[in-house]
Amino acid sequence: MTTYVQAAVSGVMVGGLYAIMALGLSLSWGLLKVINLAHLALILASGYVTYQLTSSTGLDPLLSVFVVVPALLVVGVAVQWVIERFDVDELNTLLLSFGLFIIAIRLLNNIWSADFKRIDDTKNPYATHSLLLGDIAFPVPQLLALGAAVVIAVAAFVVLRYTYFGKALRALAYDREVAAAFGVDHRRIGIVAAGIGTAMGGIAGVLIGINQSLFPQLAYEWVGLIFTVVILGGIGNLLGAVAAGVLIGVISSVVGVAWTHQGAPLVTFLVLIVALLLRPNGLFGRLGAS
Amino acid sequence: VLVVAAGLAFVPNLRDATDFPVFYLVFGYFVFFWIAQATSWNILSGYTGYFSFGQGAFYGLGVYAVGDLFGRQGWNYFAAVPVAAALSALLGTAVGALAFRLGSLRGEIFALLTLAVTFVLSTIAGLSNWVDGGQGISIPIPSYPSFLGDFQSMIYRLALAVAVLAVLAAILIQGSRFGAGLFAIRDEEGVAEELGVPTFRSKMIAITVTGFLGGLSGAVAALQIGYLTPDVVFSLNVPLLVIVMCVLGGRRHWLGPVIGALLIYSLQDRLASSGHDRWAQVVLGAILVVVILFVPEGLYARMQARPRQALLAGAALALGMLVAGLVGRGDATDWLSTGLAAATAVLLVSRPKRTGARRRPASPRAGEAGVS
Repeated sequence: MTTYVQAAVSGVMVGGLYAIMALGLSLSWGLLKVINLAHLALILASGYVTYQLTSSTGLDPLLSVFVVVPALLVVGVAVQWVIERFDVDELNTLLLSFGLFIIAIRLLNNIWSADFKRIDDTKNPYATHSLLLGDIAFPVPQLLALGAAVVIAVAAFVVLRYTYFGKALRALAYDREVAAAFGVDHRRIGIVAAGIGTAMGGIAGVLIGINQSLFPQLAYEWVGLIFTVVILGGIGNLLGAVAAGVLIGVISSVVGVAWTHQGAPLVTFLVLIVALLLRPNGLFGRLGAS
Repeated sequence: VLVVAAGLAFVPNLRDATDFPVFYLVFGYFVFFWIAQATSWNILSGYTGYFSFGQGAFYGLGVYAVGDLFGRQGWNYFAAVPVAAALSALLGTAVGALAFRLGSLRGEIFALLTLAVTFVLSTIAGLSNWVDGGQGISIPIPSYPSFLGDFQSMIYRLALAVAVLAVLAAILIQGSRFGAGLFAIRDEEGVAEELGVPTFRSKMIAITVTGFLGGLSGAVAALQIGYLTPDVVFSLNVPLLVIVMCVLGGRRHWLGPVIGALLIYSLQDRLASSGHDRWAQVVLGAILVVVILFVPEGLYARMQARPRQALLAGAALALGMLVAGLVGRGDATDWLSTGLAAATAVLLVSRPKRTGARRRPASPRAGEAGVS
């Protein structure tokens, strides 16, 4: 029994990582109509940068946030500017970012090679710590990820609901023309939102770097998984993304213990397929669906 | 097409006379393979606009069906091929039956659904003992009628036959009422339905044809691969390349995927053999980005819209091949890819002027309505 409880708890923890990776993607897909596949490559790149900074300077890995987040902000703004400039439609943003994704992964491979890279435990104060509650272990790095995901999602929810910026953004997602008629500058708001979205990816990347070994193909493994989380959570629904991340984490972890680890993705994708067919708007509703 | 195909079918015979390296047959095989895959993808995704990342599933199922039936159960190879194609077609029907029943399933969601199907198949192949069981399958050389020539000539001819079949199917569909219905679905599905296009049935037929051709081509490819593992067979390489090829070539005409396949494969081949393997995917991604930004309608549509530039491109092709030939380094495939690259460059540069009439309309899929 303890094994299963532990599996479920680990699932929740891993789910925090999934959630934080899914946040930026959900934001840009739901609100900007940009399906940013490259987001996952940027997360991985941030992970590598964290690895590199920590390994060569010996600083606390969390400090890399101050390098990674501004850098990704700039990338996000630049990509969004190009998308606006060329007036790329929703499906083509998927292809465009697919192109960027391939380029980025290959470059990461060329720079850091295809080998596993992991921050050395002596330089990673978080890696080996776990909080113990009875027999159940809570690994610290994953707790950080879960906490960050919840904080970001709640903050984003508040901003979207109560600030002018958030309302303008939602109005754009609903109907660009009408929003523009009411004086919403879609270009500026879009660029700010895209920057924030990729910046979330930067935070995710740092946490990934702290949590696990990195290798270039990792991003391909994320594609199916993170899209599942985004869709299940409801596209553009950040709180839903956190819930879906945890759900997927628990499912794959428990299946991994009860059956085999290789079987976990199978169950995950079956869940996605069933969910797509029964509830195309996600388990928790899309943004603006209610 | 048939004349060209008949000519190409005799190329292996020339080898006895002129003794050119067997490498050209392999090159030809891959060109035909990619033409078949790209054309197969285009029938569903290009014609109807339902973007699929699931080409790898059809291809992979074809490969593994042959691997299992022929490689492990000892079936006759030529009996296993049609079964493989039929299984893929069935997969297509099943995916379609699930996905198309819901009118609300939007384009991007369909794309991701097909991706998920690919992952599921890949996981199953890796897991279950009666498919692969994690050991991999090696494919022996089958016995075949002797008029097909030696082994490399045989798969060259088989791939050619599949490519011709795929292209013929694409031409026939494009010219038919059924094809016109598919284009209507792409432009505005709701309107098409109201004008009496049986949209559900049309999409079902399209995805079944796509599955059949993808599986058939995969069944031939199993011989070329020789040793199957789920990682290799279900890699994202196939859906990836196929999409790049069709987007580059153009998705509203059967010639688009053919052009795209030829361009991309020869480029890939040159990059790989000149030791720039590390950069091949970077170039591929860059092509995709540039094409989406500058020629979202594809090269073939660009050629039709601007015939003079197309002539110029042809001239550039000839010139490029000539220059590469004169410089004298490398072999025939170098000439070919240099020329192709030059022609593509001309087409990319000849961006239509953005007048009011040419401006792309706001609605996503109506953009290329004027070109076909």
